[in-house]
Amino acid sequence: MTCPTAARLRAHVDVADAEVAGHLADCVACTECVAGFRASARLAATAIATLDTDSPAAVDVEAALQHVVPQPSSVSRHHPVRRPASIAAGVIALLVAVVLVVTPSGRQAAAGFLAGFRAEQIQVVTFDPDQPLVGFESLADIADVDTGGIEDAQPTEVDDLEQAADISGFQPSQTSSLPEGATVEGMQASPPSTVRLTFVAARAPELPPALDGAELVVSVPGAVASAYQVDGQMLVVAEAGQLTVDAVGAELGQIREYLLSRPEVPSDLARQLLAIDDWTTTLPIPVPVDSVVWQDTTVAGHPGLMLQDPMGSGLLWQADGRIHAIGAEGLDVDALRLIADGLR
Amino acid sequence: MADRFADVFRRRYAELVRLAARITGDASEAEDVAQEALTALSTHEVLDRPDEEIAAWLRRVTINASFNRRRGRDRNNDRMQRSAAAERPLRPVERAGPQLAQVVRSEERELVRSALARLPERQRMCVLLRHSGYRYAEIAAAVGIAEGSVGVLLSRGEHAFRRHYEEMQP
Repeated sequence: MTCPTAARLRAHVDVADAEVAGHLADCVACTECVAGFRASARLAATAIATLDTDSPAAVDVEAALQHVVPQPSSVSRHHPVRRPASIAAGVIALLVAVVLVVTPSGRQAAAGFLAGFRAEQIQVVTFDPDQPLVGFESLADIADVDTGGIEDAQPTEVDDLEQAADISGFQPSQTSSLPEGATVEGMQASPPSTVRLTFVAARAPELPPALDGAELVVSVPGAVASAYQVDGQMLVVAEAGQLTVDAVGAELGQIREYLLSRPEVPSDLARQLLAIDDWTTTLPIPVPVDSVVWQDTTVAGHPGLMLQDPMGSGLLWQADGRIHAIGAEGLDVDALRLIADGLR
Repeated sequence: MADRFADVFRRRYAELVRLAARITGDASEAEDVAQEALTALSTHEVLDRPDEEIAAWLRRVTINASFNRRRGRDRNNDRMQRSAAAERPLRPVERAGPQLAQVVRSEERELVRSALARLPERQRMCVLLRHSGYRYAEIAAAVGIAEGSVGVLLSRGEHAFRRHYEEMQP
């Protein structure tokens, strides 16, 4: 084979080309060229990924559409639609658990994490699986907790997407690019619910007076997860709506500061959460420390996370007001990206 | 046609806002850019074309509009700084703790945007789209080149980006 074109060598950096790979074994010049391409590509990827932090977590598409439609030709007269006051925050523990559960080192952590998930909705970024997490019991010491029946909202086995949509409250994406030989294991859906915390000063002397009677309303989205077998190993594709947190009777920032100052919250966790630049739109993702390798990435143009351990990998990303997660044993991240690209 | 426009709007708006936000660094301005691009689409003949062509057109318009806004903002900032410098000597801003870290991160992002802005238009579009997760076919459609040419522009763009980025490091 004569030396490939620069275009083909660069493409090889993104998608392995067997013919090019064979050529590189014998050609020092092309090998050096590819190494240079790879280094520049890596630097560009890392640098450009930092720009994701300026992206809005969610946009109000319908409000924007209504704003544009009446004056389709008056570009200069319209103004941007601001995001609603409702604040996207908290965690999507069910989906993260899906990713973690299929990685062996994540299983143990995920079990402990799920047990305390409902009380961690506005706090977790990373956590130490050996440390106890705050639960409803301790929140009951400072607030009336109306769980909205979330304990009973267990995932239900469903037969098809239509049934999943009825339960979850949204139309789940269809998967069009599963790995060859993948067989369906089953599908589960869970309904949305709302958790309300009403702070009571009589129970907590240290509660700031402004928070007495204030209400924290956490809207937990419905979720749908489909499981597949690929060569005897598990693949899970999951999706959920947007988790939102609102405050009534006080500023959400005040409530956040108070909760993060509580002794039940590990200081390291509190420090991480307080360090988030734009916490009102940043979705903290719980990842067990030292168990799973993770890094920021983009999935089809959407900001996300890549998680990996020696036995499997996961992708987690937000797109169009939905949270998506794919986790698999024995598949690498590139294989998961193909599945993600095929979601419609 | 109105249904067609609404359908495209719903499917593309969030993506275009994210793309614009990467360049402008401002969520509200990104929404403005995305709305302008889609508003322009509403009266453009490309609205009759297949979905992929519409998406490519919208991405191209959004990226170019975002960089145009950025250039305009940079010019205004330059004018304001020159004006301020003429009136009084600049004083260092007191920064500490988390605020300092935030400023450093913000400056780092501005550095990335500045390095991107220095690239020729087609290289810039290839680099930005590729590292925003787009596939070669989508990049080719947005830039208006053959898919086989994406690698060339991409490698040149990434090389130039790396050079600018490293030159601008403080």
